[in-house]
Amino acid sequence: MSLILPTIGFSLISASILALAAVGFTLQFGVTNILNLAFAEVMTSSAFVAYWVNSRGISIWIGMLVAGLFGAILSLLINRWLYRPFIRSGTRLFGLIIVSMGLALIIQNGVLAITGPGFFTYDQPHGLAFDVAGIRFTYTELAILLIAVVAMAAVHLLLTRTRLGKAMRACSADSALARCSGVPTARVVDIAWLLSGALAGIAGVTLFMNTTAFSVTTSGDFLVVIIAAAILGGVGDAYGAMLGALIIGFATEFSALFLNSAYKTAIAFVILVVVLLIRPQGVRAAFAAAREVQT
Amino acid sequence: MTTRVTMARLSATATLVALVAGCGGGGGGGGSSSSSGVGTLVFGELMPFTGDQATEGGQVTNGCQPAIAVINKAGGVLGNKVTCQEFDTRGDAVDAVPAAQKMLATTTNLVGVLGPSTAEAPATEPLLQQANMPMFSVAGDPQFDKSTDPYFYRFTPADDLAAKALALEAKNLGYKRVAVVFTAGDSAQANVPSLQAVAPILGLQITDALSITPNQPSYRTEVAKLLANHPDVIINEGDPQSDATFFGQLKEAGGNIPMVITAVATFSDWQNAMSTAMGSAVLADLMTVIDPYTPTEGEGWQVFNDTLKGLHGNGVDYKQYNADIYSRTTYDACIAMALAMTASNSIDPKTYNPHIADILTPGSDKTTVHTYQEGLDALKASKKIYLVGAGGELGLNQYHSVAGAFETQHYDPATKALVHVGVIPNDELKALSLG
Repeated sequence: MSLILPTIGFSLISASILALAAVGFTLQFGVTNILNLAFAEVMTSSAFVAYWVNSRGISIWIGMLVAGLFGAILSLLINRWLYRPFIRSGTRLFGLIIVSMGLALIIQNGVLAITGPGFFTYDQPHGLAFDVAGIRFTYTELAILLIAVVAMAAVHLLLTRTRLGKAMRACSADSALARCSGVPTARVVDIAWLLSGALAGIAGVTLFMNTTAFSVTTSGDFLVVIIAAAILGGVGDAYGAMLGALIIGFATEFSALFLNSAYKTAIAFVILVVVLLIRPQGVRAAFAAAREVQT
Repeated sequence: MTTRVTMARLSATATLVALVAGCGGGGGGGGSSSSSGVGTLVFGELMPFTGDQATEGGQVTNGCQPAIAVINKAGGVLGNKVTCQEFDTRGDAVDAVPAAQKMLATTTNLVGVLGPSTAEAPATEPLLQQANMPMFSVAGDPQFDKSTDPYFYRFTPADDLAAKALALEAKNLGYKRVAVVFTAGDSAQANVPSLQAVAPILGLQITDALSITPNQPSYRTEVAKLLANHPDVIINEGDPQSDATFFGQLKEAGGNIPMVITAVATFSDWQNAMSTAMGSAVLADLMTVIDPYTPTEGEGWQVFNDTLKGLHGNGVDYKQYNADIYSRTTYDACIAMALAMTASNSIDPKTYNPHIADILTPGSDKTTVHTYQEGLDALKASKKIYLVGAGGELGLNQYHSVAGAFETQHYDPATKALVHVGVIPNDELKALSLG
């Protein structure tokens, strides 16, 4: 079928946006074990910072960098000023989930109060398209693909080629042991929040660039799919999240091609449930049961 | 043991809550022996005020608010003030049922309901009927076309009629190959079966019938699939976010295809999102909007218009709703209820309900009234009345529904508003028998 090749291309674009977000989400969760449901709102607020920059005549690519920086700082502050005090006062996994839900509402309504309820768009290059192996990509789509590949390669190098990456993996596997082995876990946790926030910011901008017109709720609708990709890959495993994003990206786009488009999200979850029934630890990582939060 | 005790307490509490909700089913107004001095009467707005369908709640609010202003200015209903109260259904049955139960159980002096909308009507209409509560639904769902519920009213044309108007306009514009793109969900999907049924009658070929999941980051695959079948025109209804993404990506894929859009395109939110995604000029070139129509004229509409203008702000939007058929007919519903209560000298819905249809049916022995004050004066003079309000002559049938005409509109990028182009008369739609 002539549409199969283009659908592979569109699946890669969807998977790219999803991978940026899912890896950001799972990197932080892997190290801290805090299920941060405000992640999508960090994406939203950062993407609106990019909008603010862009609306002053500055390139959206510069806006994306500013959004990444903003997301990193916001995430770090969220941990230091909100989650950490709660953890110190004895709040644990489920309590923190409720805190993160509350935070998501606060951020979303805060952004809404500033921006208003309308729809917005970036001033970005439109109309340019390139044929790559028979697939017609827009300039924006190719850029998103490239950003995702570079970001994933950077995460891979960080985790495998640096002392910080090894420390992060050690904290993710067993933080108590890592602490006993001299790993500065508090600093590693801070860096995990910074990285997660930066990826959230970049993912937010790529998502908003791809949807053309966006509002304060655009990222919120995406959170469930992000979590699905992270779980599918094995919670806390960055490589698993990349793989999970690919699987869900392809599943949703191909279901839109061969089945009714209305079922595309449902199909992603059918796959998630089936995979978890067969392999509860996710497609890659060791199952993260009985984990405890890290400050 | 502790768990069992807790479970038993929870069960007892749930039972108590259910009993209280059930006992309150008659509504506040029901059963009142005295109709004056009972306190403020409430028109319950059982509509979505949040979520994708929130615009429908705005339409109802912008009909109810001017109505209560007019009624209260004339001294209220039987000496009682009236007010509007929102009950958010969030546009789905799961949230709508508890919202309806809460409204019925807890609202003192509830005398009528404005709503429900399409997505929640099948689930909530039986509850309201059981409570003997008049409801003025905006549900286009064809299953209510021949409703025998004596408390159910619908003052705007059903979706099957709207679907005929959409298909007829596509044919009138000279198109033959039609792609149907509607977002998944009861509200939009209610149009699709009738569209598919009427298309062959008009000689139209449906190339695709896409039901798209709302608020996805990409519809590129759906767009490619649609383009592969080479449609001449797209018939569409969707929320602003989904449509902006879909049509923005369609444009980027090189598919500038004419569109015939339902009444969703009358909302400024939708227009803003789409003009942002496609550009105002492209939108003006490609789009035709089909909207239920009655002329914005007459004494009834003038009072509605002036009152709405005076209330502008705090959730009332004059520019958006002064011509909106849903707001105008909601306004008429409130006026009709108020006059029916006056005519029956009762705020008990069971007692005053039969008078609603009577007030909205013409007759040679009746005095035509256009405003609440005119209606009150005529009733005081012991005259029978026929209300022609802000929505014009409604033409209620035996099922308490209306047929009605549709108008075609185009987008004017200079004023960023829709402009009236023409009318599709009801007779033309009636002629399109679906067998």
